[in-house]
Amino acid sequence: MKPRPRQAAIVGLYVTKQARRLEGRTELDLLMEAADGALADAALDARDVDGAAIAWPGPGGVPNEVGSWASYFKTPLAFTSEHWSDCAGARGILKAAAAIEAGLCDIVVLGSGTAGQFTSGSVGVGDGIEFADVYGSTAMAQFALVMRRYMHEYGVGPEPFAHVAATIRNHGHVNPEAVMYGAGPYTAADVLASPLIAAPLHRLECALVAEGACAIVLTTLERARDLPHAPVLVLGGGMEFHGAAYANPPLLREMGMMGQEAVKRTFSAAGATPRDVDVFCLYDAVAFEVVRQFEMLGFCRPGEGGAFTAGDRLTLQGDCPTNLDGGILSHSWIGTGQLTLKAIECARQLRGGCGARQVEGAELALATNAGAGARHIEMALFGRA
Amino acid sequence: MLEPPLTAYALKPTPLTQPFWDAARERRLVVQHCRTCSKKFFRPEIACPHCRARDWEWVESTGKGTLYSFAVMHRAPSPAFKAPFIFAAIEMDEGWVLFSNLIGLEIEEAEIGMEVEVCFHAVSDELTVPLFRPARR
Ligand SMILES: [Zn+2]
Repeated sequence: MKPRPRQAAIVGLYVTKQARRLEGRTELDLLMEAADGALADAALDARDVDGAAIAWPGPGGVPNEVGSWASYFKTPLAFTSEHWSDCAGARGILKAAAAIEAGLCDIVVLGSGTAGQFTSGSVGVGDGIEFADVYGSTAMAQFALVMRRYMHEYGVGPEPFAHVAATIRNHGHVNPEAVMYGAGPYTAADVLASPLIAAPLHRLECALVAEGACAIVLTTLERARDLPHAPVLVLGGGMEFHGAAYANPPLLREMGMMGQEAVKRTFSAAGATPRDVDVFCLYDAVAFEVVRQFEMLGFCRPGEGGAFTAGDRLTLQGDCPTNLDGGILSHSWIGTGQLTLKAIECARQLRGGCGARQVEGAELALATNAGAGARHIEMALFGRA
Repeated sequence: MLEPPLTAYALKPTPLTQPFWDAARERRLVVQHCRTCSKKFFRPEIACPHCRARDWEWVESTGKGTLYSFAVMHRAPSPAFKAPFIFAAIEMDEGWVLFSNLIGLEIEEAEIGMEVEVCFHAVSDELTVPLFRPARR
């Protein structure tokens, strides 16, 4: 496919240490490390950065005002993303890429993370959702609602989801960067034997909460050609919002195949199909969502995702390598930074050099964020230049 | 036997949502009814999500519905909740859906599709929450 004028590309990336606790670190301290690291990776000067899509939690500046980064990057900044979800993941990357391609700015640093007392808070529920909080809602609980209804309507037991959880956790088991490195390996039986959290969800089917940050640098493909790493192109993307997240019950009849329009938009922009994807980095806050997303992507019919994801299909040896870094389940969940980690794993696989988990010759990688329980989804497709 | 899980909560209603909570304190479940398309909708909105009309009224619900789906919460999301409890999606016979808690039964008795009816739990002087229990025959 012919690159667009001012085609946006990822040219730098950095992931701080990820751990359950990072003693003595603040969120901003981690974000500065991530920004500096990503700029060093890109061989770009911080004073040339004219676009900030990176959370500013304070202290200093004005908390949550991304323009505060002007003193650390370039003054004046030509572009900022203001909302937490616009500084992360597919949503943040697509908007930053659009800004670059529209000529609003030339170099964007995007990033987020979480740690310590200056955190900007957890994602989604718990921030005062009036008719959900009083009933003890959590993100896991809302995914569990969709999952239970799915199991009921399609007559599916808990094993397929436990298998996917074990598969992804076993990817993290051998990734030295993963928070859960060395934990496991797990079988589906181990997952089902772990404590129930929000039944039908078991503990090992749910993401862990950790601390850390990550950042990426985007610029034009033209500029990228002079930089050290092979550029990773933002080929296309799509988003769907079905009302405010976690505010109304997610019904299977509305959410079961949610994301199909975003899939269509993503792949038509890139002139590709989901079957062309070499690397999948799918949202796995709960393993069920990975199963659902293969249905959404059109690999199988509704209710057949469990059969599709059986065996070794989602491993490096399978035909749909998925979350080889261990995903949110095992690698790390760091607030909105977990969304960006999906894109970073895509970019690393496309650059090559992922070592034991490298998908040989990977040319197309898909990152997805959020899903049925949240009633929104964002995705981006990345490729080699 | 599952009991109401919520023990304390600082509700921050808006002028739009206040009538719902006022009614709940009087042990009535109310819902917005659109005068233009005659459908009901929830959560509270200024404009009907079905037809965009702003001509609506609060009406009392029959309180009858079915259990659409549920999660058995073995961990309390905050100390204000007593676990285990059931976080539920209720589909009302009148065609609207809401979150709630299912009480008045054993966890093992909860079943998708079961008929349920509204009941009320006074958390404090200010807050009464509509909950659901198995429908009485
Ligand atoms: Zn209407």
